[in-house]
Amino acid sequence: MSYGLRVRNALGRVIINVVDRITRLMYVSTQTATSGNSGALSQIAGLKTTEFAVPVNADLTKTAHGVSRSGTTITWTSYTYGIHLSPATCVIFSFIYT
Amino acid sequence: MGYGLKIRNVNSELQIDDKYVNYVFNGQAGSFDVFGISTVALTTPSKYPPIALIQPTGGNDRVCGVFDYTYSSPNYTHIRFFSSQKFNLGSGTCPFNYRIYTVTDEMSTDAYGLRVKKADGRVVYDSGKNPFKILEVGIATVGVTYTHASHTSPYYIFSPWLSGIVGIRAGGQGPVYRLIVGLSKQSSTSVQPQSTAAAVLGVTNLDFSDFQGTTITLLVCDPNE
Repeated sequence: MSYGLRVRNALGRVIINVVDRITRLMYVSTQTATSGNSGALSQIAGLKTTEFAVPVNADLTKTAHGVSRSGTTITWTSYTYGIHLSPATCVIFSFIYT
Repeated sequence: MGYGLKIRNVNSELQIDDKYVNYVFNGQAGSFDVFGISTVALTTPSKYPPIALIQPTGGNDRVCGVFDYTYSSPNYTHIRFFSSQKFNLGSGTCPFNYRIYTVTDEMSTDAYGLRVKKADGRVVYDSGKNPFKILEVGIATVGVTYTHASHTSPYYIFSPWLSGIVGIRAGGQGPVYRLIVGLSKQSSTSVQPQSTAAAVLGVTNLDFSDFQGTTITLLVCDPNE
């Protein structure tokens, strides 16, 4: 290898190699059902992230927030449809993979 | 940073640092083949949200995904999965595998290896715990096959978790279906986001439909078993 870290487990298998992309948790926020909002995260500038909005303690009428990233801002938006669907309380979290 | 450790790969992408905790396999993996909801209790509940990697293994009209997390303060305690058949095609089961990853302060029992701690003494990386690897990231469209030709039989995660609703009058009064988008295996090197009916929420005299969105971010992953 040219440089970097290669980690093997006790069996000798490589569990991290010098070309791998792995994940680090960098942001967690719980949002109530009706909130649509955003958060500015200067620490993700220039880094690749994936954002999640996961329903918590939901039922079949509850929906996950949509979530997206633009620049260093993560935005989440609730989704409602009439009397049938309403947003769940969601945990918004983001991990870095570069 | 003024001190500490940063490990980068050959593309100068950070793998480990002394600030953010790596997601690692928590030891829980398994399979389901059901129509409906399946629940997995986390053996070690955590205050941090877990990640479940899924690998649909069934027919190309079978759909699965993560439905929600159960939270009981101060910890996440369960993950619930949904699995069924593509909307309007029936109520078949969907076979899939799952593996669960968490961030944890617990150290492995390994007697040797590499362990990195942050300034407050908590472990951020431990070579005795396996992280999953991201092989590919792309945008996938509901109803359109996404091909990852370089990666065979991977696991997946995706976001956001889209919902939708459809009312079908059916010659008078008909059902209102609550839809949810999951993943369907198309081949060992392709997958397709598809909608499935998660519930019937009522009846209607109208034909209507509404969808939260049509695209998802798809992460193709190596579970690092």
